Amino acid sequence: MDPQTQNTSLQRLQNVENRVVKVLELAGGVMEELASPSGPKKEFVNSHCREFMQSMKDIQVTLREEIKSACEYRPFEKCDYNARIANEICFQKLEYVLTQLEDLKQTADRYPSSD
Amino acid sequence: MMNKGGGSGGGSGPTAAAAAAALQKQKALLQRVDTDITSVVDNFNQIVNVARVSDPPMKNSQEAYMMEMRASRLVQAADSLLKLVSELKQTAIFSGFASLNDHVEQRIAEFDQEAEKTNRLLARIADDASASLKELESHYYSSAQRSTLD
Repeated sequence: MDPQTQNTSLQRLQNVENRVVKVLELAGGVMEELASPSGPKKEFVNSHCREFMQSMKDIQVTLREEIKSACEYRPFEKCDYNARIANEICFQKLEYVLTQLEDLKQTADRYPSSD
Repeated sequence: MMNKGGGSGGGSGPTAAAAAAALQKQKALLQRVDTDITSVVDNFNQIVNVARVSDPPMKNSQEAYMMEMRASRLVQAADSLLKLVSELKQTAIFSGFASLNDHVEQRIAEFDQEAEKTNRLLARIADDASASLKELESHYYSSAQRSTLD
């Protein structure tokens, strides 16, 4: 199993799905080999059966891990509250500064020009 | 007065009922996986056993029927596994925490960027206001207006 290409849950599930199809093909290949008129090749049957069992083990392990991670009830871990409140504070600061600047402008307008 | 029972649902936060329901669903899915995996392996094992050459030729049709039956069950178990994978895919799409967390991180980055931009703007306004205030003060204290007030 290549972990670098299975870094998301969807990718892992997709790989499991492909592996299930492969398992059926392996079973079919074994039966075809057993049905050959010249007799089954022992090494062929052994390798396919071993691969079959290894694939089933990987499927089971991966599915159990995905079920546990998907169904586990836990509170939502990420929250943007801090960033959002900081943004609101900046907005309030801007409003305050704008009012101060407006007052400053009014004060400056009261005095006649020195020209 | 009729009392139809039925308690109210859970609150907005995590509750014991929601956790219990999630746990039951998890157990059911795990049991389903184990059942399907066991069925696939056992049926394949039985097929290989039935494929052994036997001496009495009269059992050939019976063995062929058994092999077909086992093969059918094997395919059905695999189909059940594929349906389970499809359900998990939907769960991953609609309620996957990874994608939600990524979205929240993106929002946090955007908020931080806006806040930083605002802070820089405020700092620039402060600098400009300070410079303007100094200029105004110099003009005021060197003007005739101040003399008249004294």
